[in-house]
Amino acid sequence: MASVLIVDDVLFARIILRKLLSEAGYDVVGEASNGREAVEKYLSLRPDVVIMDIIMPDMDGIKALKEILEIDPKAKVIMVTSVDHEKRVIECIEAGAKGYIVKPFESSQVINEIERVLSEA
Amino acid sequence: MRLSACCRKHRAGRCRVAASSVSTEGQGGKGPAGLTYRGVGAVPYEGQMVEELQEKVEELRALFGELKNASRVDEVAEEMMRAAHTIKGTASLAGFSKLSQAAHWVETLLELVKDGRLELDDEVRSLLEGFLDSIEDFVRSISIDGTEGSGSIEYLIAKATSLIAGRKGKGAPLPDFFRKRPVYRYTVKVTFDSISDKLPAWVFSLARTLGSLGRILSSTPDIEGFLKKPEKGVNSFTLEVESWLDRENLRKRLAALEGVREVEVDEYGRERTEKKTYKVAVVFREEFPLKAARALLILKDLKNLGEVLSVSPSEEELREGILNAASEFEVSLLTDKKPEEIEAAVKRHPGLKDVRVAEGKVETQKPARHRPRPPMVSRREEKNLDRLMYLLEELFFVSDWTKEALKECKSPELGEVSKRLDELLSKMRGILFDMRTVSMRSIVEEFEPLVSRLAKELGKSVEMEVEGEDLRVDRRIAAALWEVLVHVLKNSVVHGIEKPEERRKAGKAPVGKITVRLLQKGDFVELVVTDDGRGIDPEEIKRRALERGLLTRERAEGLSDEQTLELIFLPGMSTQEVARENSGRGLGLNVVREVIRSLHGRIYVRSEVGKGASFIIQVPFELSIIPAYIVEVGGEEYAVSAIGVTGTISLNREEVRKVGAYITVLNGRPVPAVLLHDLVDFTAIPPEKLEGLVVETGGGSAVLLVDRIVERRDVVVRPLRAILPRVERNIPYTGVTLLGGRRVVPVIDGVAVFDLVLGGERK
Repeated sequence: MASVLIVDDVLFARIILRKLLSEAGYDVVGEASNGREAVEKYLSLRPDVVIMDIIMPDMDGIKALKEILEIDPKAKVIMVTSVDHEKRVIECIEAGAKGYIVKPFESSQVINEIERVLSEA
Repeated sequence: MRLSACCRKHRAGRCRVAASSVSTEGQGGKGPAGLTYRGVGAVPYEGQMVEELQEKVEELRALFGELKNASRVDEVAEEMMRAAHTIKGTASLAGFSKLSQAAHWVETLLELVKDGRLELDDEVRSLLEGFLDSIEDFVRSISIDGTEGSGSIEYLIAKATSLIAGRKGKGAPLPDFFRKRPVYRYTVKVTFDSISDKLPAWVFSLARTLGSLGRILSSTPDIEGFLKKPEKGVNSFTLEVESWLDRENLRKRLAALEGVREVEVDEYGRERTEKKTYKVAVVFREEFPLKAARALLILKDLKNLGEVLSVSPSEEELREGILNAASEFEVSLLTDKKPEEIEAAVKRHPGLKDVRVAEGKVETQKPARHRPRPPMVSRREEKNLDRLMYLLEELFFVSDWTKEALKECKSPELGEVSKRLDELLSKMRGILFDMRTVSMRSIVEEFEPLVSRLAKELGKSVEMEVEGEDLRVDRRIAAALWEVLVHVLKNSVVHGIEKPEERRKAGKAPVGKITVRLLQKGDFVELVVTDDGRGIDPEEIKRRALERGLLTRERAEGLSDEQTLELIFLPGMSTQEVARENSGRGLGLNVVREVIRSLHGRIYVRSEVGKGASFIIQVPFELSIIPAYIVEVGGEEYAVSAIGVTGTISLNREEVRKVGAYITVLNGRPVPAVLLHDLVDFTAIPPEKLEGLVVETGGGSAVLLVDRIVERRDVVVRPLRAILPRVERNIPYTGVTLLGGRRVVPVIDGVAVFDLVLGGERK
């Protein structure tokens, strides 16, 4: 069972993701509400996958992504975005994000992306 | 930047908060020492912080020596952890991530030792020493140039992780997150440029790099031997290597080394089969969002399968978010993998309509068109330029200060000093401007092929022309304008210009025309992008705004056409659905406006239905020095950016009437007015005689009323970060400046004031 860390500043989004992931059989090992917390939790929890919102207060997703990758270049981070932020997603992919999912969440979309990323070497 | 909040209230001069970094010594007691302004960006690392770091490093070193004393291990470890923790905290505050990580690892290792989960043996000791060395290096580098330098701790971290994972301590079990990091084995062949004197140096740097990314197991010819005694005629090495990097990343790192001509990285022991070139065509479903981002992810996967020879649209274009109208992209891939393997790799991604893998190259091999970019300058050079600019700006403040002092003591000698200072400053500014700027025209011209290609993909025909003077602007402004032009030109091609048959029916030439005109307008640059397309229909815009609830019906009726066109810059109008339909405009135009705003500039649009549209963009020449009006409200000074201000007026208070909002009469016509008092100081009472700045908003003229206009001058703008109280965030402050060298004054975007007020009415 793959372990997942959820990072989103919006409580509602975290609740939805947690529910969706738990139902799909993932082990949600932690939640963080900003980038700084995400980096700290990544260090202590070492989840298989991080699902992280791009736009957050107190260190945004892009910066947190870069820090996580600096700690662990093999980290698997999936970004959460909305349809009108393609530029930012591209910036994340360039920085080493392994995938992205688009809000509003669709469970098949989320699970497919996690599985795809997990299956990568 | 630290700007004490009290200063907004007290105004410098009365405020006594002690200065921390700007020395006021040697001012002969002139002026209070209340300068609370502190450097931003360029010279941010105070000696104090560096000193503290150095102190902690020394402490760590000394303690590390004591660690040998077995009886005190726990105690010493704890002290070391404390020192490391301080370094970590300071480093992460200042944004030194490598330093903070290294300190973190020292802390982690010592904690494990202390808890008895890790035995303190030579291996652990040498690991700790490695981290200490790195910490020392980073701090040294920070003390010299304010950066951590290029040193890497990747290898140390990998070693630490695998050591912890592989070791069973005596006490509690290891936390399971220390999973062993995979290490891969590769056969690497590196070929250097034709033999030169530098070869030994290049080979040495190859060996060092591989050492920091993993380790070298063997090499032919033997690298060590070669370095001791360089052999003639050798310029290629085959190595067996271990590294935790994946193939593509390892290849990239090695290819970036100086003198390296070619790098091949293969999984160790993999049989070399014959490579073939495949054309991989990927078609997305029309409605699938963020296609370009997905295309980039797929491209990354393909790069891990083989060598990507070409991509269409180019990688640069994908990065810009451009994916052609057919939602398709093609890659030509040189690989030893089977076509089924390639197809399977691509098909793991969502949103696909079709994937085709066939032998052969992508035929339409277009010449790689690079993203028009301001000329490359090395990071170091760029940084130094920024620092020089920063110092120049500080000198401006000093010059201001001198003038202020001159008012008080009329010393003829000080007058001479001040004059000379100004002369030198203006010379320096001229030279720095030249160094930091690029030709705007050459950047605009680079868009021509992009525009005609995009038009072609949409079955249209467009000619683009660049007119006007060649102006030089700050490199960063040019970079931001580049982004703006991408959106605006794309918008004109996609939504403005009609297809040839439609144009013929309308009695126009089948080839559409887009003109970009460059003008100098006083203190700023004006760019006008005009197309002769179908124009923007205000009725259509109103309908959309109503649909999206951005406008009430009553408000809609009262809007002039010009005001209606302003609506296309609202966030809600620029969704993808709008862009996809032909009649609507608004492709990321709100983003465009944000970008322009951040430059203290403005953008508006003019259009005639059936004839075309013009986007008018105005920005300053420089990023941090902008023309502004200094105004007074309730005895306080404010700087209003001069862009968009077309004139000034004086009037009596009774000439301003309140009809819902304020209005006043300008050239015989009623125009909206805003009392700056209402935004910045509710308690200030406007005097009998008022003065006003006439602001050209996108929706027509408007007047910003103040007590008094003091002067028009250039001001140095420093960014404002969450310093002012929350209430004041409703005012479009774009930054702060220092007047008289020490009075902190907010800078206000005059045009945005009216957006704010009109926007407020919209809701």
